Amino acid sequence: MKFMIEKRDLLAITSMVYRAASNKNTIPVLSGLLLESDPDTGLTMTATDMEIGIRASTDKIEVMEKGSVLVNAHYFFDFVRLLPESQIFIELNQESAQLDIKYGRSSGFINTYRDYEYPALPLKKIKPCFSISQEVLKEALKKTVFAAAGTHFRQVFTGVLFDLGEGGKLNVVASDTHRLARYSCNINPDAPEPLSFIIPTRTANEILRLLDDSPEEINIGLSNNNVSFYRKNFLLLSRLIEGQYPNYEQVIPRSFSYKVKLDTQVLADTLERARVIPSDDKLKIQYTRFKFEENEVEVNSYSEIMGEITEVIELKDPVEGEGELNISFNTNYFFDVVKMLEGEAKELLINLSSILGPAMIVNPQKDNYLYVLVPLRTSN
Amino acid sequence: MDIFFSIVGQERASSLLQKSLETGTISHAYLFLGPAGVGKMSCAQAFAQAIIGRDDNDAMVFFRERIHPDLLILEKEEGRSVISKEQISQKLEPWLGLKPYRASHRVAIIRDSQLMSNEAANALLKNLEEPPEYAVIILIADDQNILETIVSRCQLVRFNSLADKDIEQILRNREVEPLKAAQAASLGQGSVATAIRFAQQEDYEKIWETSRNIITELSGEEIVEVYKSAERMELAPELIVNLLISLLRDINIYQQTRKEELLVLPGSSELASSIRKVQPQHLTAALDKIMNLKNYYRSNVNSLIINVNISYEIWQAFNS
Repeated sequence: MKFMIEKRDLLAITSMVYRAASNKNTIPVLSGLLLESDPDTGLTMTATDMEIGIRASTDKIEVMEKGSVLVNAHYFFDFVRLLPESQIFIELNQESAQLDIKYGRSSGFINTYRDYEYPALPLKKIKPCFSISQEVLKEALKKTVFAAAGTHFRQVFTGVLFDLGEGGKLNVVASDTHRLARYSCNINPDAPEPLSFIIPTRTANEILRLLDDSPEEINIGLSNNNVSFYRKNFLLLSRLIEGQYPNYEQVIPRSFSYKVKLDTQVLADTLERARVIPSDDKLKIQYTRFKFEENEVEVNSYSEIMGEITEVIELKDPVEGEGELNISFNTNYFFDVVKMLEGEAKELLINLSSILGPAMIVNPQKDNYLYVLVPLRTSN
Repeated sequence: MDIFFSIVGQERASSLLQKSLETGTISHAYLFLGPAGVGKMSCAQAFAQAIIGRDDNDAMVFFRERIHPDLLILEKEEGRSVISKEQISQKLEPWLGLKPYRASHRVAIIRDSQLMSNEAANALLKNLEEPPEYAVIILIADDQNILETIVSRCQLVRFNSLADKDIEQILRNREVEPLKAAQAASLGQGSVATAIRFAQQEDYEKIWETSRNIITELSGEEIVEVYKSAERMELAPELIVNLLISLLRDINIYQQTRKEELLVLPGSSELASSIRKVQPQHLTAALDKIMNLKNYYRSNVNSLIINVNISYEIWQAFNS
């Protein structure tokens, strides 16, 4: 194989693909990056650890000789990343099985794997399903994936649910049973039959990294076991998580006794300070107590060891609802959503029902996103 | 093709599995139960490959590289004496939660599942109760020391000790020379794994010699020999103990019956005549205890301490 390519084009495609390669597995093919050059199709790179697989290609390249080679993905990426901005000339030396990389008057080489049998991505059974604008998908995942559980004995909670209902209404949902984030959007009207699937959070995070902020669409294809996100010159394949996602609509409260509007920036700053207070021995979770009164909110975080912070946030509009309410939340869970909405909403609407009833946090200007947060039961 | 062709002497187990493959009635969980080193693991791997290979034509490439994404082998971690709960809840469970990648089944093999801690076993129970429909869990165990609740949720597949001629055949297949194969087979006591270890041992002769010496010395009256023998056993503790057991049995039989044809090991009759006579009931009691003691070699116990205990049992049998 022999080709010439601009460093920025080479880096663009390498950085997309290399993260799918395993960095712990000692088996060469899984930590490898497969490069294929062809005068007709350009340069294609593939990497997979068999949990997810990514393939990307570029035609901004001059291919002198067709060929394919397998190199260690992480070494290759590190090398390419640090190359100077110039034309890069890459050639496989058949005899020594080295991949020569020349830039300007300098050069280097990377050893390649010989006699490999690269596991083809199982794409045959994948059927095109629907497409969605990249910026919408990006927003949907960004606003939900953090709410999924790191580990949970019910595996469905370690993933992000895509729930496509009648008429192209798509809900993207993640929950760890203590909180739930739901993002809704509509996809193109000729949508397929209702369906749902659950992708692992790792996949969600990889897609987030690879999506553009553009209205250009990305396609989603499904087989029984795998999901594929693809557009021109790019494809990501991931396994699905097995299991029935519980009916999340049931846990979204419909009626509330209290409604409060809070300045997002003020609340974010307050919660960030509250996070300084460490967790207690009794309750191993950092929590913050809120006292909602008619015209103000008192926010308190306390630790026997470190100290206490009490802040009062004055309200522009009085609290809708009768009497005062004391309620405690996991500081980090609350902070996550406030931080997430900080950029887009000047004010947040917090809906509350009772001391132990779930709260719902939304941007009052929009109705496509909601965050349900279950309060903590604290001793006082 | 008979996928179990390489499994010798386990016709009952392999025909049962073969049948379930042919009829397609593959159950969600199997318990392969039988003595150590009789082919349970080889059988489990062959079975797993057959299940996965049914709908993944390229599976063999992945098996060869040991990277098939739909096959998981869970083993005790190095330096630990049990299979921990974390291995079940953080490795097996998330793995089972993902759908198959290439095949339509995912097979998890848990090796030495008798070593699961109670917490691990209980965590596994949840998976056995409601497995995903594509899951096949194969538990491999050497002894019955497994929660009844787990046993009742698995299809039991029994493996028996192998006949000497089968073990000999397996060793011959591995190009062990005939005489050595025959000797190692009879020392294996029904276990291929033990027999192979004998056959591969380089200082085979030395181990043999050491074992005889230990018996000769321990049949004397000097209690200090208990410690000396224990140190000599360090050469290859498990192998030597296996040899000692066989030798003691032979001695017992020969001293009672004087019939050479009943003996397993060559030359035990000379050994038996050269040492003091031992009371059969004492020797049988000692053998029972030794059989239990030798299981500790597999757990986290200093082998020298086990050696001392075993030597003492032998010495006591001759001196009471």
